[in-house]
Amino acid sequence: MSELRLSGVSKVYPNGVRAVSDVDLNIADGELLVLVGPSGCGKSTLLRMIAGLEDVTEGVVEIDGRIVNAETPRERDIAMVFQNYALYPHMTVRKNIGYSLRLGKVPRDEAAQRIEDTAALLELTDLLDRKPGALSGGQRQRVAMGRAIVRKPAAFLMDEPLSNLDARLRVQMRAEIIRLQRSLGTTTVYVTHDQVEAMTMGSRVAVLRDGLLQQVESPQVLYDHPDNLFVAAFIGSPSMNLYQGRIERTSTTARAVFGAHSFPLQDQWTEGDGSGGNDGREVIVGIRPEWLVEQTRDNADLPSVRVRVELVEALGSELVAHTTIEAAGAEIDTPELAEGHVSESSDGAPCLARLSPRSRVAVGETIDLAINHPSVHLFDAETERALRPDRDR
Amino acid sequence: MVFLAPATVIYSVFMVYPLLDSLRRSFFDDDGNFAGLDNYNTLFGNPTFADRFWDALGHNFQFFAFHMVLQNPIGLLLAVLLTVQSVRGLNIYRTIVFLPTTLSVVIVGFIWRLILSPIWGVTETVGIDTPLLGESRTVLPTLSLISVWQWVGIPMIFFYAVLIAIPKDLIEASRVDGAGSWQVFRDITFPLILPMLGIISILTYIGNFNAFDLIYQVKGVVAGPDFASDIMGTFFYRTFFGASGTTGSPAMGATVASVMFLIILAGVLLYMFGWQRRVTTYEL
Ligand SMILES: Nc1ncnc2c1ncn2[C@@H]1O[C@H](COP(=O)(O)OP(=O)(O)O)[C@@H](O)[C@H]1O
Ligand SMILES: [Mg+2]
Repeated sequence: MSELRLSGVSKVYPNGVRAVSDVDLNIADGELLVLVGPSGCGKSTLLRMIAGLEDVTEGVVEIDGRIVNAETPRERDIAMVFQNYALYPHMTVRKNIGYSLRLGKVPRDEAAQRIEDTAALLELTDLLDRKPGALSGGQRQRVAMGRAIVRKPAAFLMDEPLSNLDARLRVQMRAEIIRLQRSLGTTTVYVTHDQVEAMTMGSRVAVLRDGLLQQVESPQVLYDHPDNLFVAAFIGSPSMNLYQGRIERTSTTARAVFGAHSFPLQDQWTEGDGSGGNDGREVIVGIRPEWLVEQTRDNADLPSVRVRVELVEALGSELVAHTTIEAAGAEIDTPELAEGHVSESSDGAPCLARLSPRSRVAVGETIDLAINHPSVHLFDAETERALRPDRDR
Repeated sequence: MVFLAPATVIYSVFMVYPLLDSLRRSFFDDDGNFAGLDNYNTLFGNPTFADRFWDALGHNFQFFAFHMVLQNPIGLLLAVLLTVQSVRGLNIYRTIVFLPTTLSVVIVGFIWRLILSPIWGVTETVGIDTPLLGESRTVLPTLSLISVWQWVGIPMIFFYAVLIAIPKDLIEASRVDGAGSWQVFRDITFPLILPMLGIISILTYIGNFNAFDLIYQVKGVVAGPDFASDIMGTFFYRTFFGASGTTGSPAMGATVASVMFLIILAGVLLYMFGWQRRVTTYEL
């Protein structure tokens, strides 16, 4: 049970790749922190620096106030679960789980007991004498977990431990890991590239992009108040619709204008020093797909956008409409975020809407969608930072 | 089956037939009359043959032992060093170590005869005043070492190929589990290269019975001094073709060849049933 603290941690690989830049992160005793980001953003590198598998180029890694930069993995007493499980193929499950105990010179009886207990906890008891080659993916995953748990380490580090499992098993193991982590109360850093997984698992989620920490918050805060354009686009599925726009103010009104559309802004945007600092300010407007609803007589007073329906995915519980909107889309240079969108056509930008399953929208139609939300997200077009009326007006 | 037929035919004609024919000829005398086990009785009963035979066989096992104790562990050590990422110019080292294997034995023998020559070799400058290739006490170890020097690149490359196939994850997992370098090697790396160790051992065993060229090149068929460097290969050569005044006997040659075949076969069977069945190769 331990607290992890990273201060100004950077990693530059010998080939010059700067994989992690100046990361400050505290993980409280017993906390489950999820580290999420697109692949190649430096998640594994950061985790491996905590484990002691990779030298820290700059900064300090502390475990319980003890600086461990120079310590070997064995001295750090941290357990790691690898993406490919990394089970020792020539050892039985029992020996795999017990290997750390053998190295740690834990007395034979105690080791045997701890292996049994761990196996029971993970329902591996019947598999103890098998070799990894004779196990299914899910079973291997549990052995990898067991190898970490049996040690009662200061912390668990998990590097995309579920990404090799099929979807159903993944959801099941997610819950299992949360349950184990809660009951053991061991400080855990969980790495994933899957934002849905991050949102469901973490009490706090740290978003990493190109080695830079973007925001560390609870899932709800990340979703409601993304600090910047990247977090806004990365968190949420399908991801936020983003358009280039501009703030237009008068003394009494303020609106965010994007393409042929506009959205009235809260009163705060109209107040201020009268210098009109935000008037004409270039922004990026963010609208969550779930805010969009079919415009009806009941919500005719809501601001709306006109879109052309290109594709409709009926998912049963909801209906995802891929449409194009007359506006200029905002580019984010992270390829994964683009997936699921209709490719941009000359006459507009893609707009995704999560509609009620009973919506009657047909491909090819032009329809009005109401924005059923009191506000839209605004980001500075230059810095990509979120604009808040209290701060940026 | 149809597709295998040509290969089977070619293999039979060039491999199996000569082998069987040589076995057959060991039961006939030089004039082609059936001789039963006479040739074998001569080989094991007649001191002129038997002494030479047992000597040569003993030398073969010494030669083998040198390779097992030196060549293969050194090859493994070099391979392990090659996998250390932080060393610069690894490819150069790999090439240098592998280079001698590509040289003709004629050249290797020649080079080492020059180096070890008591007259103008370098041994004297380093303080060795025995003619290493000239004394019966030292000739076989010296030849073994030359052979080790020449061939150490082979086990190195074999081990290297296996080592780089071990996923880095496994090594890292064991380090996180608390293993130091030696424990990683003992508990993870070594068990995973054990199958290759078996393959290399059996290749060494077979190769050692076929080691004829180096000794022939350096010491000639008489394998002097006083047969101190005589191995099965040279013994067979003298028996079959004759040497220094004695006439050769194809029948006796065939007998020696057959016995050699049986010794190699015994080793291979031991490997297949005693080792291969027990040592599993793991999918990594
Ligand atoms: N050993 C290494 N040497 C050089 N560059 C590396 C090494 N490992 C990772 N990188 C680079 O560092 C960046 C971050 O990698 P990684 O931490 O594995 O990302 P993630 O786990 O988020 O996918 C990538 O650009 C990757 O190419
Ligand atoms: Mg990774």
